[in-house]
Amino acid sequence: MATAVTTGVITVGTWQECDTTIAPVLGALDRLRRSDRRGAVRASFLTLLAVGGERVEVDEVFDTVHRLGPFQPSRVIVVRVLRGDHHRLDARVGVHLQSRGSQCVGIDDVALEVAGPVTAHLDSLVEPLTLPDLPVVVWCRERLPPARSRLIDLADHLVVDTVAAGGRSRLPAVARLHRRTPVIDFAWLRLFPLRRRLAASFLRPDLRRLLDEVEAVTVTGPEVDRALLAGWLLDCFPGAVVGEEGDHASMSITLEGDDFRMSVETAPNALTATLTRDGHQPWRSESAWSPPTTDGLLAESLLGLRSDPVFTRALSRT
Amino acid sequence: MTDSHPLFEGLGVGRAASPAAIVIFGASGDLTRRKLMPALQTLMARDQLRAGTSIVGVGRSDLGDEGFRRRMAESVRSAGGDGPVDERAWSALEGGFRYVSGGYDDPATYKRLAEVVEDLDRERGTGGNRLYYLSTPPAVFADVVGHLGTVGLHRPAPGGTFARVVIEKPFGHDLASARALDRDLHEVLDEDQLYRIDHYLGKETVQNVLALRFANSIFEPVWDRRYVDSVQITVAEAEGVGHRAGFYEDAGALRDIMQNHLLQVLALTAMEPPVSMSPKGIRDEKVKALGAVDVLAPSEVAAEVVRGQYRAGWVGGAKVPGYLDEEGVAADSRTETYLAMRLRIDNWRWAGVPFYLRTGKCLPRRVTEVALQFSGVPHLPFAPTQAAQLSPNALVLRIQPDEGITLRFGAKVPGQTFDVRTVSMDFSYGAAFAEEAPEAYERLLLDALLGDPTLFIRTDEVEQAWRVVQPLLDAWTEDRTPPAGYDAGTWGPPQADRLLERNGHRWRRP
Repeated sequence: MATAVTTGVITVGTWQECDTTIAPVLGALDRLRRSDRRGAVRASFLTLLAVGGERVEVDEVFDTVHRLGPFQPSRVIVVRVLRGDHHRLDARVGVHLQSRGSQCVGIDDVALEVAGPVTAHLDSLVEPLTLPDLPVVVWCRERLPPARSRLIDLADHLVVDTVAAGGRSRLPAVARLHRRTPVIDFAWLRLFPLRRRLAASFLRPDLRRLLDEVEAVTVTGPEVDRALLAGWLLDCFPGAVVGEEGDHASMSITLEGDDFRMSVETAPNALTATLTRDGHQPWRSESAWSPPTTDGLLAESLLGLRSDPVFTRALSRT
Repeated sequence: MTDSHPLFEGLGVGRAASPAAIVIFGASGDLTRRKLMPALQTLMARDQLRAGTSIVGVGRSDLGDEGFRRRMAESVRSAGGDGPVDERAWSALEGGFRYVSGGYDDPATYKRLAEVVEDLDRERGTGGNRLYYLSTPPAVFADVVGHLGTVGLHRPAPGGTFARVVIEKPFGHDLASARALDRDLHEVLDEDQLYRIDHYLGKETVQNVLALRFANSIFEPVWDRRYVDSVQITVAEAEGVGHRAGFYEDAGALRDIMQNHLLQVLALTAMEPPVSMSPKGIRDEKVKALGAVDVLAPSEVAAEVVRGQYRAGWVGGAKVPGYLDEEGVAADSRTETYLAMRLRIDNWRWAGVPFYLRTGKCLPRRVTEVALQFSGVPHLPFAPTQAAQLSPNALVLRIQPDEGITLRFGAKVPGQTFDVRTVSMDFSYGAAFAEEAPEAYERLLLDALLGDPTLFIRTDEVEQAWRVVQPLLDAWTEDRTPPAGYDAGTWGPPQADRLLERNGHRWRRP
């Protein structure tokens, strides 16, 4: 899991205007960039668009992104969609410098608060602000974009969190989105430590062969985690019976064969793996673990930027 | 090509033009207010115009010298964002404003004009130098030039002075009318007095296409059919037709952009290396490139060209009406606001390489770029999953906005696995040069005053460009099919996507 780090971000200049249009926003970005020669060197990574409702704290998003350090997108656009029928477009722009080793690169923040009919046409607001020839990642923090949203077509990758977006019932919608535009799901990324621990438990050659003898799989945990883990394991063990149990806060995976039982589970600060086999001493291993933070998940999403075929298969089996 | 003398050497003044009477026909129009006057003031502020330079407006409005001066002062102020006018430059120009009121078809207008410019020669030392700028409807070009000829204003005075005429596009509305216009103009003027302006050529980044290609050894060797898979040239406008419906209804995207801006950029992209950067050297090669464009047969137009017309939609967060609902547009208009076409250039360098050209109004963003997409490697020694994020190499010349160059190539993603992803290497004008690039009109006005026609369009270039687009006009005259609709704020009708998909290509998202 990538780790977010705090790096120095120096603000070159800011601009804001209420009841504006996109042209002044673009003008301000250009002006601010040129106002400081050092700021003209643009980072060349990606454009990140974060979309959310009134609950979105814009500065919180910027702070999160600024903490990404080397994974800091070249331009971050945060759109806060407000309730109300009357047209509103308030904009705030910041141009910053960030040190990356011996280099100093320019990064931009754009915050838009919108209300009225334009909220159904966010793509028209955002597309002129995206940087050419860089991937566009749309981060849907609270909910999934509607299927008809053109923001999906604008995105090279969608970052979602199925848990925040409504839970297990939203997985079919995530699958539909994923068929259109590669989706990176925080809910899936959160499972990586557990999946890695399980995989690592079968590294020894004498244990590796047990994977061919798995007959039953049981997963526990919150509903989205359970569903994704079950989908993944169904794909890994097509002949096994895969079951889900309970709605526990902690997660666990148990693989059972005729003469063995391997279990990995999360505890508040640890990941524990336990193996019992007929005729063998029980084996137990514990490693430190803490739930990934939003910063870490976002960094992981932006660093990889690839369509994960394992997620695709797991999702298709949920 | 500088109009200077040895005493200026080392003073950092650069190119500067001798005092002249700059006569603007259509002086009360939008172009004069938004572009010409601010450009002239900037040139004066940079000492690229000499004291004595005078500006004579000619138009139907009854402005008077003082009214014209006030209007020009206002235009300079508004162009500077209400910032301070350069007082030194303004005071140098201030006494040189004159206005001649009258019709373009009235001989008396030209007699008064002759008196005014002769007075300026005496009062302000313009020395018989004349630059006539025709910022008028094209229909009066020939009339104006004819009348200039009648009163002898077209002739340079003895003693090394000049009389030049700048005309704005469109140069004709089809091949036949372009030829007719040229005949009329050449009855009065020599070709070397005619400066056909396409402001695109005044943009620094358009000129940089020449620098990139011919000042570097690394690009030219791959700039041909052996390495280039396809070329895309995009001129996208976010704005709708606005208040230009009267002009646009007759012009459409073909005459407004494709026949001039787009084909000029195409010529610079496709031309062979010139022997020298002289006006003749460059323009000869551009003509050859345009001459090598394979003209579509009328039967090919439907398959190789897509024309569209915008419907209501959203652009830049604002709702815009459909073209048919714009003021001044006919309810059954078939004028194209979008145009995409595939061209072939039949020469040694480009045979088999498709050139995809597109332009349109109400597209998602304003952008002009040339993108060369290169062929793939002969063998990709990576697993499909390793190279899933790899797209073809591309060299993108961004002409506006955010002027610069981007090279796209594959690089290993840092980490223990060997994944390859496309990354961008970016050159930005704003980052590399401290100097602000001059506005296109500043460059072109100074060139015209100095007698440098390199960035102006020669008569044979105009004719070649019309030769390329004439089959489209012919085909559309016969074809009553309305243009394909596209929602404002999208990248054009789906038919344009299919135009490329047939060859396994897709439009870039610029």
